[in-house]
Amino acid sequence: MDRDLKEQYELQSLFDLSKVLNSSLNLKTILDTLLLTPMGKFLIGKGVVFLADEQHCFTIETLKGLPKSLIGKRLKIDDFPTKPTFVADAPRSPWQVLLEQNGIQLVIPILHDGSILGLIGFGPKSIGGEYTGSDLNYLYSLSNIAATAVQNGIIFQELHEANRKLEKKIQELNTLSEIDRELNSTLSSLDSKKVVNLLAYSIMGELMVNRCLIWLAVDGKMVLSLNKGFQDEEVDKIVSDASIVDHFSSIDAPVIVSGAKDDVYAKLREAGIAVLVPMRIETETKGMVALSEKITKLPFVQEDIDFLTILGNWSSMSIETARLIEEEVEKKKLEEELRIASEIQKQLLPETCPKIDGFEIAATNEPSLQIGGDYYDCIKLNEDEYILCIADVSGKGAPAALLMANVQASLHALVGIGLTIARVTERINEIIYRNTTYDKFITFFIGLLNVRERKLYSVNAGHNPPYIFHKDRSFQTLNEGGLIVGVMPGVQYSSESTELKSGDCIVMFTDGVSEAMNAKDEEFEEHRIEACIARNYDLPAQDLLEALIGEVKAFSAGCPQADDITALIIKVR
Amino acid sequence: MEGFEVTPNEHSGISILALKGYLDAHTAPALETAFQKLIDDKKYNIIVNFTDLNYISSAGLGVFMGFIEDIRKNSGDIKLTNMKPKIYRVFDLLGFPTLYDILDEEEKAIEKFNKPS
Repeated sequence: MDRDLKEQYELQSLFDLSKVLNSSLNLKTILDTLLLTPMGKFLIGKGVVFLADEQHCFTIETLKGLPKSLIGKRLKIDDFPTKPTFVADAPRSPWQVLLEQNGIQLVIPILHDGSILGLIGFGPKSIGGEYTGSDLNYLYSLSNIAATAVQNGIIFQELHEANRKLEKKIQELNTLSEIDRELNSTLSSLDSKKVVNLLAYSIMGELMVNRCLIWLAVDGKMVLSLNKGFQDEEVDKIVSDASIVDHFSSIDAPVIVSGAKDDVYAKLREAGIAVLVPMRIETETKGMVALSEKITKLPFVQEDIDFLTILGNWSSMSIETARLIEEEVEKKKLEEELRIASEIQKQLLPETCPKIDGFEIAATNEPSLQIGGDYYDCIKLNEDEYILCIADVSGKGAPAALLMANVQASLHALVGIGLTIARVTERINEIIYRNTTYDKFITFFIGLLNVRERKLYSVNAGHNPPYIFHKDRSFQTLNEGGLIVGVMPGVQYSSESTELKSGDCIVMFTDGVSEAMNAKDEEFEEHRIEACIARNYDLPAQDLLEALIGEVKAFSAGCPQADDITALIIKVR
Repeated sequence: MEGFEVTPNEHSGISILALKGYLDAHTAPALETAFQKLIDDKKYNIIVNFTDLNYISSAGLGVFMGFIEDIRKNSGDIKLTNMKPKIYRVFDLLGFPTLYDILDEEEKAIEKFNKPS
């Protein structure tokens, strides 16, 4: 009777267990139930479950009363028991030793449709002595009942893992498409720094990496353009080692640094770099991503490498596009700036020179592509007096044009208030000095032509000395004055006066004339100016000017004009 | 496109960053700036509250990676709270729960900071 009751109770408990097992798809829950039920029933202190794969590799999935560190341990077991077996009776083998060492006494196979799913191992019972035949029957029934649930659990877990992998892939795709979208949406304001930052964060988030270096190829050289998380000293060691960085351009596929043999990789390993991913366009390596190991210490797997490869290539294409756009924008900006500069310059130069009785005046300015900042002027003060001026502003483009505008405004304001030209030059020096940085300066020549006195008063502040040629082809130069304008405050300027005789010819020019280059890298130089004037001396001022400019252009034919060409010729009748 | 906001706050010496909107590559720099400021101010106990965050991309997660080591080195932590399920899903998918304390409620994170186990 007692026996019947006990059997009935056991049947009931198996039935209950079966309900519990089959109501769950969670493998861990199933296995834990499978362990804990008999452990409670027989007061067993130790239990372990192995699951087998098709190659009969058994992995410890869960355990009770044993060190947690055993979880995940794998063993190849070809001679696995197919019925309840005492460990002590099993033939000596690695699994038998492992179980014996850990105090497992009894092994029950989990069989489903004749194939092995796993093994359950139990330690000794705490009370009631040895396992009896009916204990073994009970445990084996339990294992058989559980087998279907375990099988379902395994399938479900595989499904779950497959699902997770799929979701992970989707997440990766999302990341790629986001990067793409981001790059496309910001193209107008895109700079490569932003792309690099985006790339770094996407990698760090996706792969749980907390350190990242990115190099980009600039003019064929790898330049470090981002460092997240690495110590500066570590990075310096890599960056300063040409053998490493030069090696980058020959890397055409991701490298797991820990497994690579080369010396180069040893140094990278020392610096804490685990993976190198080249950023490639077609067959060229345009950049390099270096990553530390994952913060989880898990290894980089093929999926990670695939993701990194795509991401790296994708980004390098975007960076290349960004660079091209930047260049285009830069070019447009420059063109626009030059257009403005040219506009300013045109407006500052006199449209025509005033007519002066007894004198012929001719002037020209041929701006270079970059706008050189040349300036000349001819201002009528009164019936007798005229200001003649020529200047060359340092720099090019819009800044030069603006500085020129300053000079022009100051000059026009100052010449009308009765100052001597030396004082005018001093004032202009102060204004320019105060309003510009030290590297901005102006070579400046100012002449005051007194028609009645037939005299030229002049101040030369560092400008190419103008000539006064005489009828006999002899000439003098106008050097008196002082320092170039704009570099020092409080400079004093002196002036000289030159009497003008009938037939004299004043020639002013900028270095665009004297330093015009020919194909042999020779400069036009003053002696060619002197010879040209002498040869064409009898021509009217305008023709003489054209002859000079024509000669300069012929001289530098085939070479780009580097600077403005400006000249002013005044002939005394 | 939806914007992104980080609102910094403080609760008994713990810094709280409340995130709102859409955290992706485009908006990640704002969060980066917020973290950097906390680190510059030597505030290493940080809670990030995700209540109003509707989207996070890998680049957004990357920001968290960039700071965690520095913060833990200074015996601080970043605890993440109040995530919507779909936000948690992304964190989970990329393995963040093994590294980060992710909690349902901001209060629990505050408690944890105040009574470290």
